[in-house]
Amino acid sequence: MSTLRTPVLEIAPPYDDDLIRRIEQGFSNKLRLDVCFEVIANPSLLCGFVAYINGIVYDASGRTRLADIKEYLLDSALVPPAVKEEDDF
Amino acid sequence: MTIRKDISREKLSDFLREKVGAFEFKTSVYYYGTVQSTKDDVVWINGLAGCHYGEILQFENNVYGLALDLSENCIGAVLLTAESDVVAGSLVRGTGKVAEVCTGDTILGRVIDPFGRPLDGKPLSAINTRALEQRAPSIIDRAPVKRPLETGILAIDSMIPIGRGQRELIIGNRQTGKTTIALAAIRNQTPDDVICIYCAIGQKLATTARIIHELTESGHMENTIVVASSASDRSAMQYLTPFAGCAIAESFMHAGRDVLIVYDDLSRHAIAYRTMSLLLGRPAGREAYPGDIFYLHSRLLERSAQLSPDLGGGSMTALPIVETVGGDISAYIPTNIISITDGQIYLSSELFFAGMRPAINLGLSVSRIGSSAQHDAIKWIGGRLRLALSQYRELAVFSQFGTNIDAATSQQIHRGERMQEVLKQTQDETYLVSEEAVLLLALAHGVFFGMELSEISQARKELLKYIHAAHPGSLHAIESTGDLTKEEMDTLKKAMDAFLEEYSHGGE
Repeated sequence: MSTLRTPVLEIAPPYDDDLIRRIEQGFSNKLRLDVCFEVIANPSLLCGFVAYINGIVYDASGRTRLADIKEYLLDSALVPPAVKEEDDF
Repeated sequence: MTIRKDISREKLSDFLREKVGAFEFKTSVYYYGTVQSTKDDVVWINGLAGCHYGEILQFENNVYGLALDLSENCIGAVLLTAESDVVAGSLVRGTGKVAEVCTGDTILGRVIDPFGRPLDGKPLSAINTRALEQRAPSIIDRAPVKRPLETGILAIDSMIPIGRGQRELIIGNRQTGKTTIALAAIRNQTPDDVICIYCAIGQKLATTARIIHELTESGHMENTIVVASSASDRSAMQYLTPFAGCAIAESFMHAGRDVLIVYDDLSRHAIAYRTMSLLLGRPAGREAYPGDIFYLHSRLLERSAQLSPDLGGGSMTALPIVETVGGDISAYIPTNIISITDGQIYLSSELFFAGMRPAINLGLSVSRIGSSAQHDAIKWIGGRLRLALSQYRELAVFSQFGTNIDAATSQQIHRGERMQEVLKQTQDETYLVSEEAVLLLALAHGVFFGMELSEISQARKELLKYIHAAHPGSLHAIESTGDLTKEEMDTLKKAMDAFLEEYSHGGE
């Protein structure tokens, strides 16, 4: 990740130019900046993308969502309400 | 983590479906930076705008660090984990959180690290957390320290009393019994009364394991929490350990409970902080410690307090331990902590090797709270005992020169030797308040003055056994009121005379 000063888009394949353009358009409208990504294909994201813009990461990848839900489930499993209430859970 | 085999597939599916259904997917948005350089646990980071002092930073492969140096161009952080894959160019994420530890009754009896992760191999289900760094209670939040915290050690409870909310330093060379005194104080607390927290800072794992074993064996682990970092842990972990213990203690204190916290020891803590500061390139001061080393310990120890009744009346009593080198209490860290605390118990190597256990040097030990936090039953004799012992120790030094001494001085030395003998305790031996009152009364009544020195240890045990059997009511009255009435005193004195007669006949 040597070119972090310019906006970078890591995206899980398959993707096309139209999808990239729509993502750039979305960020340009949201941030009121002219965003033009350097695109890097990253299959380890599973799906979705990670955008690096001006020192901020926008992570909408499948990999992170799975990690988040894993953490959430592990936290829930430590004190599952069902276990508290029903012994036969 | 334990796996439950009795869970049916359907119920597990329902549980997962319910949880996954309730989970809200959100795009993660966070600041990031890149590692500029890394060396000796310290990482310099570019970027990461909006990073706070003390913020936990997440590196790649779930390595964590602590932001401690915020300069204009870069951020200095120390790594918290030993296995480090951090290399120049790797990404760093700001978590937006400062270091926190889990709190609450569920961690009683547990051994945890400064982040609340269990070290005893059992699952931990704590829900509440508390930030490690907190403001100390203000003046208006505090109440005077008036309630005693008994250690069960006669010399301390009678002459250097510790009150609930006090900070009493235990200081001495290595192998003089500092930890033993702190553990005796923990063992002397009843579970429903005082919660104990033992912070092992940079200790050998074997030492910590031995302490946990001792507490478990004596049944006192139930109301104790051990917060531990080992000698092989990163400096940052050692630095955070006492703050984690303090945060846990505070949560109990604010819930109206009384807490005793032992920091074992702050010399190692200072060394860990010095290591971090030097690696971060901060200017070195006296003994190469950074300029804010005093503030480091004062902000930790100021958090001990007796809260006002409006805030629940809870208390946090701190027993910080400091190790001296060559008995030098005028070194930088000892003088700093002596000036912060409300008194110190100085343990002397000379007394220790002379067989005096606990090896408390009464001349250099003091409790600034004084007798206001002492039971009335002990107060009136304790002051006189301290004076008599101080006089004896001065005279004993002169008598070593072989000078001719008069009969009165000789008698004072004779009595002083016996007083000192009565104050000896083994490390497993702690006294109830009533037993301490009886022993002090026996000293004042001269019960031990006619005995040989070698007899006193046994006679002391016999006397307590005799009083327990003959006058349990008197002991119970002292325990419940903390006072010794004139009538009780007369009764006990008579009982002591009877004991002395019986003991001397038995001796023949």
